[in-house]
Amino acid sequence: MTLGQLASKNRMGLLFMLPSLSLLVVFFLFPLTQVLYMSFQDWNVMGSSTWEGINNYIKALGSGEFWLSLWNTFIYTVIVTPLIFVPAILLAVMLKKTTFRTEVMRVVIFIPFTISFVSASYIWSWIYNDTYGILNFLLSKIDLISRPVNWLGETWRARVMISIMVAWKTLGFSMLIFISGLQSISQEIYEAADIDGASRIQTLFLITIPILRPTIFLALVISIAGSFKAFDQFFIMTNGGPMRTTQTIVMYINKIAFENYDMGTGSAVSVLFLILLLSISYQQIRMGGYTGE
Amino acid sequence: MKKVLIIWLLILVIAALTFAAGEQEGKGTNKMVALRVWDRDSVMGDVVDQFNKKMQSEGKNIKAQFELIPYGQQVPKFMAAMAAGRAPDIYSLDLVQYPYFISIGAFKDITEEFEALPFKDELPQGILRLGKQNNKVYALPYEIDLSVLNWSKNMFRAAGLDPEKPPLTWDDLIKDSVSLTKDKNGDGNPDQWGFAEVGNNAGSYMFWFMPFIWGNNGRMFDDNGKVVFDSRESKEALQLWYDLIYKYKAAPVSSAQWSSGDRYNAFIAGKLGLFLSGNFYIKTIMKDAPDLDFGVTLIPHGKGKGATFGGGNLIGITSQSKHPAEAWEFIKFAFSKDVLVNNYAPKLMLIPRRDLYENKYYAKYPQMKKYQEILGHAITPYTYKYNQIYDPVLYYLQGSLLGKIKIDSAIKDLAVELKKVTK
Repeated sequence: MTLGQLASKNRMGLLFMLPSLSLLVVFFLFPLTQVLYMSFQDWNVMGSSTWEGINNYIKALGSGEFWLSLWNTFIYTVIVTPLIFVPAILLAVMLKKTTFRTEVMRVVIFIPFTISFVSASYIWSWIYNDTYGILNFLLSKIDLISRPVNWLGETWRARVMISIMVAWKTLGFSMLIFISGLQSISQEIYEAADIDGASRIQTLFLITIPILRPTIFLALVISIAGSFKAFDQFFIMTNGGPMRTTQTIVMYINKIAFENYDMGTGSAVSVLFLILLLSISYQQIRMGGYTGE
Repeated sequence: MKKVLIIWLLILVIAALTFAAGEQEGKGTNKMVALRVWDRDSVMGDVVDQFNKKMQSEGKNIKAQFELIPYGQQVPKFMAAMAAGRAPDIYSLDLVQYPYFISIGAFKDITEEFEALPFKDELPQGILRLGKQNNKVYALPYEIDLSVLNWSKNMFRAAGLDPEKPPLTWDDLIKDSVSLTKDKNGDGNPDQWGFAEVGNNAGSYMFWFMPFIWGNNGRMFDDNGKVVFDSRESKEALQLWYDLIYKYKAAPVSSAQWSSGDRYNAFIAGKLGLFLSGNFYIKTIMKDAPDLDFGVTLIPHGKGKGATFGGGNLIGITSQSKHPAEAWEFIKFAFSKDVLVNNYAPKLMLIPRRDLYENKYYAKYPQMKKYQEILGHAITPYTYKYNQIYDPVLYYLQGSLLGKIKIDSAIKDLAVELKKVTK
């Protein structure tokens, strides 16, 4: 291929990319640069803003609430990730073969993913309600509890119960990613393992999961980034309580930027959060073996 | 390659021509005035349609466009629009947000227009105060929300209480709440509760808990905006709520985390006798629980008088509006008898003009008569930093009701936080 042909081919590719690039610039890069600019400003809605240097960053990093919110988000991510991944992988293994029955099961498991977090949060708030919720009713009917449990009343219990709701809602998506990964594994490898006398557990841990590693890490990147951005479920089900112990970092950004009108500090926290998310995602991609590709 | 390039160029040219044509239409005719109207309630959409018909019939080239703004997006969208120089002409916004936005010059002074209104004295003065600054008027009360107590007459009858006698004082509230709390199946756990607290939302504490403090002669801010929250009156009100859970066992502890929807569901399901409510629930209660016989009363008081939080929306013309005269024409239309009575009253929404409460829609419901009485008691705290007080209010009040902070400390520390954010 001559240099001219290569340049022509690249121009062609660039033209095809233009629509998505335009959207990326308008809806991501432009707002991102604005947020970056605002993070160094005492930003006023009306009138001129003043240059603050790194004061907003110092303010953000010096706030105990910033670190508490970050910690809450981290804990939630640690709880919710295995709650999504373990059942998702198991279900994917069980449902990887395409038959009428497995297709129905896949649809049933995927349905919660199609509803919004807002709706799911309200539905599960009602399920968890200790006075008229169905969970306490069922548990008391089978004598598992003697008095109604306030599921969202204590910090740790609330974190776990919200994570269960999130797992119910999102594991269908992770399951589908794993099924597509599993279906791309050659059947010959399994046949060879079978001839060698490998058990099903050995096959799962020594063949399926290692081959599935890039898929697992891809799903992990999506899931962990999503968990770090958690907002709706906590906003609706606990509103950050009791005493801010379930307040996530995005709730904190929302509070200081849009409730306290401190857009400068809100932007600074957003930039810090973006750096953190990028670092985590980069590490995950490296661990998943994507960087060389 | 060339074909793709040509296609893209064509798309760009068509888009540019379409945009230019649109611009030309606006400039060329130089007649049609487009007003943008924002509100969180869809009824405003009907008002806009009626206004447009009227303008058309009168041959005026004014056309209003309505945009529904979800409650949670009211402030972010407005801030973003103002920053971009694209604020609406007219905004019906949560009234507690007005002091701040007026202070930064986001709304136009409409004092002269207001003074000329024949019904200006019919607007609730306690709520109008939020639209005023330095003796000038910037916004008018439009959609009214009042905090009240609903009581279930069905449950009162079943508990042997007089269904026509709601609790008026704190003593009544304790007595009735205890009588209404029942363990029907004998498993040692109540199946229905007398009272429920307001849960996980700071706005709810302001809307329903503050009237308890006002009804005990306490306040959050004095007339000069100074924080006067650290008082015996505030502590007594919080102690009452605490005792209803732990001492009298007449409210579930979890209600300190319930949303308003949880309380509503419990009330219509017959599991809650006394429901801290508002006019916005009246129509839905009738629809969701047609057999529920319920009344409306002021929030019970301590050593003061019964009080209610005056919430809702004020309507104003933004300072970025390029058509203030036309915008005022719209506002006058929105306040007309026909519009208020025929659009808001059938939905049992509270209208801002007290002279219009004697209408055929309200007449069918005794509850609405009560709202007319209650409207005169409405109080709304005035602060430029209303949003900033939300976080400490929730933290300390909910923390104390969950037994994590002592009552005295909660009130004292909350007062300190309020002073910090409002200084």
